[in-house]
Formats: sequence, C-alpha cells, structure tokens
Amino acid sequence: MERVNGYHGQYLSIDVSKGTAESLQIAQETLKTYIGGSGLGTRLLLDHRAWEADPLSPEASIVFAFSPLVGSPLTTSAKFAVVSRSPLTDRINDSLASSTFAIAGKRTGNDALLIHGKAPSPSILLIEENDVRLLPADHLWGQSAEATESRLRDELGADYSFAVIGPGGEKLVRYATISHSGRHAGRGGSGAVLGAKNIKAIAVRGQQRTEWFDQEGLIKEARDLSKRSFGPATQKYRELGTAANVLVFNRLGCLPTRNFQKGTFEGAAELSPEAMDAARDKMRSSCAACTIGCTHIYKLDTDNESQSARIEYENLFALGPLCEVSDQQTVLQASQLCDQYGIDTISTGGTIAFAMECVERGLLDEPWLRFGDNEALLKAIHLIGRDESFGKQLALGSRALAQIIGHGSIEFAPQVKGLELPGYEPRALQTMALGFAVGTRGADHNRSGAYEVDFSEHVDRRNATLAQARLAVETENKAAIMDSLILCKFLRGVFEDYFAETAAMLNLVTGWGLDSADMLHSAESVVQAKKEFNIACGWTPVEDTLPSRMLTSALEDDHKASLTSDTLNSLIRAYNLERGWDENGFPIVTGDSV
Amino acid sequence: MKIKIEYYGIPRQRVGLASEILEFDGEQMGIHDVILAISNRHPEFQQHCMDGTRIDKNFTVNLNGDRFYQEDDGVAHDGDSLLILSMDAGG
Repeated sequence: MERVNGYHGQYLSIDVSKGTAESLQIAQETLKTYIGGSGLGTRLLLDHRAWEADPLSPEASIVFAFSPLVGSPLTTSAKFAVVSRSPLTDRINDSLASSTFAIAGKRTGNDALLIHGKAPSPSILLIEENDVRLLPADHLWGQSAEATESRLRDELGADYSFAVIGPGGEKLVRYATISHSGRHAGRGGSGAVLGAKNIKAIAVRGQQRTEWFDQEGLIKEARDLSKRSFGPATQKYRELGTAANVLVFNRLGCLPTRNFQKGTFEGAAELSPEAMDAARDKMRSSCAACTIGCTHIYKLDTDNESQSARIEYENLFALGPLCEVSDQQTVLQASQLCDQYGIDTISTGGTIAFAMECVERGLLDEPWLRFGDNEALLKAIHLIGRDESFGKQLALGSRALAQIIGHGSIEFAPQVKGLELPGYEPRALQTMALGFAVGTRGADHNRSGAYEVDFSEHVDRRNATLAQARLAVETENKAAIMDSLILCKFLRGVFEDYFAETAAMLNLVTGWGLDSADMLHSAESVVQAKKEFNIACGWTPVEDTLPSRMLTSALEDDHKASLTSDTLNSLIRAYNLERGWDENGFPIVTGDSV
Repeated sequence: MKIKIEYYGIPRQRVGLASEILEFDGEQMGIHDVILAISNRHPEFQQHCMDGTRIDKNFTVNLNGDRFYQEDDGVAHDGDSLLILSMDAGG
C-alpha cells in the first residue's frame, strides 16, 4: 500500500494458540477516519467481528493500538490503547496507558497488535518486528506485575518493553489491569482477557520508524507544546496531582462517600495531598515522553525504604471516602496492593463499598466487612487478588455481585453497564450523570469529560437542562480525538481551538491537510463505532441509565442534589438526537454507517 | 460586610492560606471587585493567579459551593463564601 507518514499501514494479527502471526494492511481511509488508539482499535475489532466471542474465550480478540503521534517529539504522545470486549461489562472497553511499550510496540513496524487464541500454557508473547514467539512463563505465574517486568528485563534485556498482568489477570478478576512500567491500562478488565489467553506478558522490540511529513514543523510544534505544558493549565497536576480534587469535591458536595450515599466525607482533609505532603516523603515522576509530571508517589510507613504508592484522585476516592476510610496509610497500602495484584482501583473500591453496604443492610453475611474498617478493606483486596473465599465474588464486580445477592441490591450497585462509577457524584454533577449513563464503556470520566461543563458558569450543576446534552456531546468528541491521537487529557487546557490545533498537529505528521470539520467527523465516527460494537454485543437502550437509587433519592447530605429518571431520560433523548441517532440511541443507517 | 474567601489547589499554595475573612463596606459587592481586593492583598495571588486585572483563565470562582461564575456576573453578599479554585478536574 501507499506509505502514509506517521503510520506503518499494517497491523499484526497474532494467534497465540499456534504462536503464529500475519501482517494485515490498513486502508488509508481507515487511518484518516479512526486515527489510532481507541478509534483504530475499535475499528479493527469491528472488522474482526470481535463482538461474537465471549471476552474470556480463546476466540476473543484484544488489540493494542498505537497512534500516528507515537514516536514523535510531541509531549505525552507515548501512549497506546488496549481495546477489547470487556469481561466486566460485556461491552466495548478501551483502556489507555503511557509507557515505552507504545514506542517499542510501534517500532515493531505495526500500527496495532491484534491477539487472539489461547496459549497452551502460561506464556510470554515475544514480538520482534514481525517475528512472534511464545516463551514459557510458568516461573512468572503468580508474580506481581512489577516483579514480572523486572525479571523479564533481566532475562530478555532492557531494550524490550513489556505489558504484563499481575495475579488478578491470571485469576480472571473481571477488572484486572495490564501494567507497563508502573502505569496501568486500568479499566474494564483487559488484564483478564490476556490472562484467559495464558499470556502473562508481552515483550516488544523493533527498529522500524515512521516518517514525519514536516519534520521541522513538528519539532517547532513539539517545543511550543512542551512550553505550554509547563504553564498554568497543568500547574495543579504538577504540584499537587489529581488528588487536589479531594478537598474541592468535598466542598462542592460531589465527593462520593459510603457507596454514593453522601457527597461529603469528614475525613477528606486527612487524605488531601496537602496533608499527605506534610506527613510523608514524596517523589514526583512522569510517564514516558511527558513534560507534565503528574505522578505523585508517597512513602508508606514501613521499615522498607522502597515501599511507596502512586496516588491519584481516583484511587484516593475509591479506596478512601467510598469505603469511609480516612487513614492515609491504609489508603496508600490499598493502592499499592491493587497495583501489585494488577486490579483496577476504582472497580475494587466500588465493589468493596457496595459489599460493605450490603453487609450493613443485612443482605450479605460477611460481618467483618464494614465501612470505615481499615483492616477489612485490605483483607478484601487480598481476597480478590488471591481469588480466595468471598474474594471470588468480589472479583466479579458490583453488578454481578448484586445479581448473586439479590434483594434489590442492584439498585445501589455503583455501576453503569457493569463498570463502577468514578469519583464524581452524578446527582451533584448532572451533565456528568448524562455522560456516565450514555458512555459506551459504562460509567466513565475519561471518555466523557462532562464534569467540565458542571464546573463552569454555563450550567446549574444540580439542575440539568436539555442544553447540557450538546455540551456533553462536545466533551465526548474531544475525548474521542485525544484517545485516538493519542495525547494526555491533562493537556486539554492548553488548547485555544481544540479541533483546529489537533488537526494541525496531525497534518504535521501525516501531511493529510485535515481541518476542524475532519477532526469532528473522526470524533463522531469513533463514538459511533463503539456504539455499533455494543449494539452487535446486544446493547439495548435500557442500559443507558444510572443505579436506580440515584434516580429516586437525593444525596443524604445535600437534598438539592437530586435527579429523576424523567430528567435523565430527557437528557439521554436529547443526547441521542444531538448525536444524529434516533431518540433511543440507535444510529440511523446511512451509506456512511460504520 | 464579611465574605469568607476559601482557597483550593494552586491558589491555596500561592496564598498560603486555606481561608480568610475579608471585610468590605456596603451590603453587596461584585465578584470582580472581591477578586481585585484579594489580588491587592496577596502579591503571590496577583503574580500567579491573575491575568492583569482579571483572574487567570485557569482558575475559577464559585459562590457558596453552588454556582460557578464569570467575574462579571456574580455578586457576593454579607456572609457568603467565595471559593477560588483551579479550573480543571479529572484524574
């Protein structure tokens, strides 16, 4: 095929049952429309009819999708997307991570790696350009992600980059992660998909580079973007990290507490980065090829100097207020345990908090599991990671656990489409409520940035109007482009004219001459492709909703924060029409349909 | 009248205070004027959180934990709390 700047124009389809691979071409029009990352990954899954397979079956496909910006000097561009049908939601899942795996993976000469089949025994999938081999991984089975990566570096060499699963992925925890140099493709259980294939790790290495259309212009743009990334738009992330949200959200009454029963938490100050900074040693770090440096790593109270935990708002909220735990050391330990087992902190905290409420209501006979009990939180995480006793049920996620418990507990299981809600109380942030309800991968703050609308003067965040549907669509479209280019969302504040600037960036790489309208078309195509994947999986409009308690009760500590199903359904209809779909959310079939 | 100013995130780092109470003449005051008073009182705030005579676009204000405001829109009254925070969320 014609060489396309920024791309290799092909992907590798790997059958791990046999240890064989086949190079397949990608049409330029596909790349123009779906760009890379989440968009390209979804497109490839649709082409391979991946909706037909159970996510944990050998036939299931999982895609590691790179992007045209990977390998460029643009800050935060060393990212990739892992896309598959989720074992947690049974719908599309795309989780992103930053690491050298993106750069090394693209240097294999492929824009994506599509993996299917099941290795006959625990294996390392080694990919060196188009040469694919399976190596035994029995000696790594049971090891944490970090230990596995370290050992592989010793065994295979530091010029490989790795994607690995922890014990959670091996044991098919439905929200297991895939880890890369301490970063995680976290949500939706992609680690379990890999574990079901007996793949403990993927090692990639290569020498294939892509050309840039305008090298000089790209370097100039990269310098400018780096400079802007040091500016005030990213100050908060550098100095305090995303955990700075804890005090703000608490003040605004949107910090989910006690399994989304309240929006404020008495112990919030103890968990703030300001308090942590005062009490503990801290180190800052950055993802690969990033100038922002948002990662804040706190030391644990232990004799072991190397014991530390990365803290972000989402793991703080989920393992702290949501479980009513305010002890810094416990929350740090809980975060560290999740990383070691390779499980998603949000779903872990959400599922445990839900179980705690079930115990409190007498629906579940696990009397040790109580809100605010530090040891209970840590014990529950160990049980999940080790696949022991009640951990086997916690490992299924809150929706499946509610189905086991029954007694109407599904009404307060904190999930949409099976994915546990992140740390934004929907009743107090009603544009975000819409974003959660319609999200193709479930309740999610990365595919919809609708909270930005709620934190603006444009709306009354506790009294949604239909005008908010358009604003929610806009944030979702921007996220679709960010996740397909791929760039870090923490850069979003540096852009004045988002679609024009991202089009210009892509043009420097590819020479395509795209404009804002083209980028918007790509964004809409990516969102629609995900929707069509879900429809093929069996999606119906009733899935676009929130836990029913959120639609029948106001927040305990803020009676102004209430949302009815009528209001939410009106917002969803407005959203669907804004998307150009029918009012139930089905895309209207045209010649352009994906 | 008294207005409580609450600082969060970067504004708190720069000002070095979690909150303070400012006193003004009259029964109400435009948010823009309150911001200017804060800016005059705290040079670090002026240097890092202001763009000339207006609050930098990367920061925002909220009245009493309810509505967010553009500086020109809102009015603060005696007993109100004005929150000053970073514009972005996420994480």
